[in-house]
Amino acid sequence: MAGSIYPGDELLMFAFNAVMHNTVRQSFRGTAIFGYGYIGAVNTSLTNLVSNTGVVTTDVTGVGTARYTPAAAGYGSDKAIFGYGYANYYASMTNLVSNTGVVSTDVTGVGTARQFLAAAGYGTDKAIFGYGSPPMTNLVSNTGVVATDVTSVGTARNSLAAAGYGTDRAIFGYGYPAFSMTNLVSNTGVVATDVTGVGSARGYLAAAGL
Amino acid sequence: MPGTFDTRLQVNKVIQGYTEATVNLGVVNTGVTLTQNYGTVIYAQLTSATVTVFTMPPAVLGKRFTLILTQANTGSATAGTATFTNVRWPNSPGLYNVSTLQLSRDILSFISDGVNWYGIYSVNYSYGVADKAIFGYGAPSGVSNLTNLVSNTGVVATDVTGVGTARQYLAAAGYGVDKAIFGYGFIGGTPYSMTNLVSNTGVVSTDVHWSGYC
Repeated sequence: MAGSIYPGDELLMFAFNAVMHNTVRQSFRGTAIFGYGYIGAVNTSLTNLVSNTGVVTTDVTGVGTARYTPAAAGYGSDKAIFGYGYANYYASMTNLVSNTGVVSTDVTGVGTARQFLAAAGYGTDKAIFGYGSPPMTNLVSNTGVVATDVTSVGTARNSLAAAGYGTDRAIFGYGYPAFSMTNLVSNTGVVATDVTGVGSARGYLAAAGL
Repeated sequence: MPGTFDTRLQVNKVIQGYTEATVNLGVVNTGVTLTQNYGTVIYAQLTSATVTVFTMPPAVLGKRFTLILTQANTGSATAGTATFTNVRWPNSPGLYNVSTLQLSRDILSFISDGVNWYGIYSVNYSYGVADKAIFGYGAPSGVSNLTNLVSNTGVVATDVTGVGTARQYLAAAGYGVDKAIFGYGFIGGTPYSMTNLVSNTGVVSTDVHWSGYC
């Protein structure tokens, strides 16, 4: 959009992302990244970095398979990973993000292809993808390697959100169509059973650590 | 005036309410050279699993400065460490060991005798840890801007009446040391490119509009 300060941002409809774990956002030197989504009727792999003061930068041309409804989380001490989503088919590929926000090309997927999942960091340097359609969890090592499927614990659901909390744990919560339960994740990546929900049941939300 | 000695500062003068100039080096990596040229209170943050060598300024009799050193935002196992050139520590040949707790702060004061620097330190101040989370927005029936805070033990709090444009299909991430941002989203058939910043106490701010569709 000519003359726009941030041309193209308005097209990023489904901006799923999230460097949710505090470890990563700090090691990103306080920055974060939005990525992938949906532009009109076309999937995108555009990314937008967020400065350490919360300012969103202009679009960066995407790398990797354009898709929407992936999930993302931090891993290692300073990196992030986008994974899964819908690319006109259920996808399972992942894309690693460097500590300067550079997204790498597709890594062949591991685990069940799915969308509408969530992800968060846990431990001090690992991440977890969880739930979605179909529901499943996959742990991510501190080098960004995705492990095979682990059967989901708790209520199967999609369009939920996840974030890191405490110093080394994560939480999945809410979900479509109208769930409000949460599931805590230990610092070894074990997902606990449902915790009765608090707050309004809902899906298609977002979460982040703070 | 540069080059002119200010006799008002010679002896027995009282300076009240002064403030030292500060310099923030941000996150430092393997090496950094300290200088007092731009301030005598210097902030720096270590990088996880990295040894940072701090090179001291030239030792000049009477010079002094303070370094406020923050640990990386990682667990102790991957804490950054720090070494200093030409510094003598208490209990010679004592050493300074940086605090390893996530985001802990050490305060180091240095004074020079013209040959060496002498370091005095206080360690392990609590600075701040990002240990909470927030769920926000979504679609219980239509779109919402409700938020729910998550404590550092994983307990979800009740709904907080929303701020910002209610929407769904958005994303969120942490930024800075202890803040977060909700961004983008969708209302009905319309995409939105607004963001909402979240303070370190979980307070969501009003919309920041980027362009179009807002």
